[in-house]
Amino acid sequence: MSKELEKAGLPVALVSAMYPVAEQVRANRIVKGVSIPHPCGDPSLPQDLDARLRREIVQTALKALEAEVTGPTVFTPNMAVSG
Amino acid sequence: MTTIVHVVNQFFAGLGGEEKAGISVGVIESTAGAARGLQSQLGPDFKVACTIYYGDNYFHEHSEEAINAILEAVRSHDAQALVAGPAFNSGRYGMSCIEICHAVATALNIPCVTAMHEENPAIGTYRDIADARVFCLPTTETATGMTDALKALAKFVSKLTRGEAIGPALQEGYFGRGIRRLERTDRTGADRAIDMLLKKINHEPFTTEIPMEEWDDIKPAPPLDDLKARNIAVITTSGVVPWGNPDRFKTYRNTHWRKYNIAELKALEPGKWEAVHGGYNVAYMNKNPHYGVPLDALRSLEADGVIGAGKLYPAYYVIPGNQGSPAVMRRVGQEIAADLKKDNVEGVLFVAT
Amino acid sequence: MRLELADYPVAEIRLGRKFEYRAGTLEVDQPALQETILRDGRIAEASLAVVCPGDRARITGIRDIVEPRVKASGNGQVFPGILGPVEAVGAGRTHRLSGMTVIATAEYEGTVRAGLGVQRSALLDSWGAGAAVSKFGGLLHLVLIMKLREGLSELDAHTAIQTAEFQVARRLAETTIGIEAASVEAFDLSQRHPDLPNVVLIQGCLTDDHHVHSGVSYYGLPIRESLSTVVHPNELLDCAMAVNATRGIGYFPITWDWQNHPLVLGLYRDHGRRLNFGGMILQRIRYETFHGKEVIAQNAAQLAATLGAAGALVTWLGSGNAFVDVMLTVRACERRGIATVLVTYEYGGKDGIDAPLLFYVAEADAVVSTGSRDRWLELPEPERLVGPYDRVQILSYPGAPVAQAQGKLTLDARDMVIGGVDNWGKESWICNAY
Repeated sequence: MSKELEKAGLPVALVSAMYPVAEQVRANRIVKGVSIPHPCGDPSLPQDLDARLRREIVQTALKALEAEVTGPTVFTPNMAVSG
Repeated sequence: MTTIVHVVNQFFAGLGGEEKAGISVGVIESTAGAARGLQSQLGPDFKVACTIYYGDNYFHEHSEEAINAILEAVRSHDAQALVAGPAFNSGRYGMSCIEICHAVATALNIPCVTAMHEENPAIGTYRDIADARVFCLPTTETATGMTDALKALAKFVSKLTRGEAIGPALQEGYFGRGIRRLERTDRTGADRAIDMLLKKINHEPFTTEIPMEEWDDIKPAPPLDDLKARNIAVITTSGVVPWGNPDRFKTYRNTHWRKYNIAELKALEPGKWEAVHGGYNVAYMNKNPHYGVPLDALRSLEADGVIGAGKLYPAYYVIPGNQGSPAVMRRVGQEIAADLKKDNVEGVLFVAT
Repeated sequence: MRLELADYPVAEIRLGRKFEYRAGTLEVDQPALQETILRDGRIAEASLAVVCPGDRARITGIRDIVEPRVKASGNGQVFPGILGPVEAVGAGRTHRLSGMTVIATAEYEGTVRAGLGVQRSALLDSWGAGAAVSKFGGLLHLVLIMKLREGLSELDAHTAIQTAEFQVARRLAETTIGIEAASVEAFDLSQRHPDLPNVVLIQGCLTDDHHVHSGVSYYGLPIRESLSTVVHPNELLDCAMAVNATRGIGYFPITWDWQNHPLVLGLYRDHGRRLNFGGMILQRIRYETFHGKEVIAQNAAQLAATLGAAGALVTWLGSGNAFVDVMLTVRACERRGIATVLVTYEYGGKDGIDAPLLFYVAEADAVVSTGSRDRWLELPEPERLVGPYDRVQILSYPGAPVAQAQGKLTLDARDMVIGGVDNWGKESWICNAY
């Protein structure tokens, strides 16, 4: 699906915990999600840290949209938010 | 007497080389060029009623007119089957053969056979089209293999017109179209697995039943410059929808998509949304829909000026992604792309589970 | 550990007033069985029915299917940890009633709305197109039709259904005690041939660790997120593996499948002839992070290496991203020099033109296809309905439409038919490329 969006000229930042699957199907801008049932966050963290992690993941996705890429590229958010 | 028509390019009709590649579709009411060879391979029970030709360049510059003219010629000769090519390693010729076969099979419901070398790029199109009425046979790289190619084409088309069932690609020797049919075979899967494993351990040859696949590269869309000035939209396959599932999404194999308003919302309140999806533990998503639609984070980034004010699209798009057929997902992707472009969206945040 | 499996084939089932097995006919004390089932207060109503192959009957509300077995000698008893204490099984002599099944059907709505835990039931036709696609289509069935008390939790519902079906299954098999079997097969791995290659079976099991019953249990204990382990194949023959009895789904193996595992039986039959059956690895899959998937793949490959495997049959039960775990396992084994063959169903969509699998690794160069789970199915109208439902919910989302079970049905996959997907190669299905 994301490839059709890209064919139409829209850059897509794909957030997915299954990033090797995304790489295999040749999505171009891939952001590592936390886990399949909760890609944008971690319920085991306290609420404020979970929200901070989510912001970091979304910000990484936005950076991916701004990045020049030549093929499938994985962007890794900084998961260490409690520091 | 079975009636066949043979479609060839200008060169193989004997009309000339590159200098004649611009000629339009024509019909010779007898066998000409390669068609003579085909008739001789087919024998007296078959009649190649005519030789239809076209210029390679003409076809690619005027495909619609060319195909219509060819269809008309095939129709008017009451052909029971069509042979196109062989195209050997010519990509242009190969492509036109595939397109002609597909168009004729679709419009007239007659079987069509062509032939080309295994590295001809047109084979990719042949597989994408996956038309069960169109067959492509292997040939040598160059026209030195013409006689063998015509022999193979003649044999295959006579099988087709006799109404004989055509077996799997590996058995019958044609290029597979990627159509997989559920059938019974002679041994159980368990027996086949043990036999295959023993062959593999003993370094004996074996044939896998599901070959590995590869996907095509897509040229990356250009990056966004000046992010603050760009319209961004969110799409998710997590299945987060308003509570009650008003648009009746299934937990798997969905075929439609929807967008839901988030214009006035700063966050998604738990209890007002639910995740409809059969493929993962939806408990986390139900308690906090932001895991699939990170609206809180997006609003926070908007407040800080990372995303421009008012630049977050006022709705998010959703289709629960469990076991979605690739063909459906392609169509959904195209429809959503059109919707996004209509509203000037420039970048997409896609959250997948 | 030597187990003898004694076969008592059943050609006819009669609902009567006593329990007796004689010359292929099984008579069943119907009032006694009903009373046994209703002793569990969680079951409000219970009745029995017999369905024969060729009957124009449709069975609805199927939650699980089990083959009647009982241990005549040896330690422990069948369904250990569920019907009785946790005692090691797999030795001695066990009797089976072949040619028939006990089908547990139940009316139960559940409390989970969507996701992995939602309860599902399947159907089975005993004639026509529906029977032709199911491995249970040609067998005799004693059907338990149960209605559960309102408001039961998923765990209570599961326990009530499973206990009822297993008690009935064991009681039926007890009719064979003291009678000579039609045939006896021995299952013994103690002799190993030094010149034959060691082959192991790696059985991937998708389990839902967050839910009350994870979907696969060993001695009654649901398997949750855990590292791979080794079990003895004889334990499967003695019914030590079971499933979540509230969910009957065509692409998920049920209790009967574990009792009659075709890859276990196939490897056993070749043991000492073309290979040594080196053991069976249970591998819990569907880790939710890629890291987890990589670790479990390495772990299973390590166990296979520890068992001295020259080759491994790799198979799975599950759907979706659990397949990534399976493919990584193939890769991990191959990279250690363990030759693998993957046994799996394929997808492909309605017309067989979509991708057959969800994920690929280059090392998976030897794959056996057990056919597609996606092809549509048209079922004809039955003459008789058996089971708690006269309307069937073809799709399992909140608010899904229902169809009349008494009519023709168009199913968009084999999942709705119990036994409709051949997980482990029991049947001769394949997908041929055209």
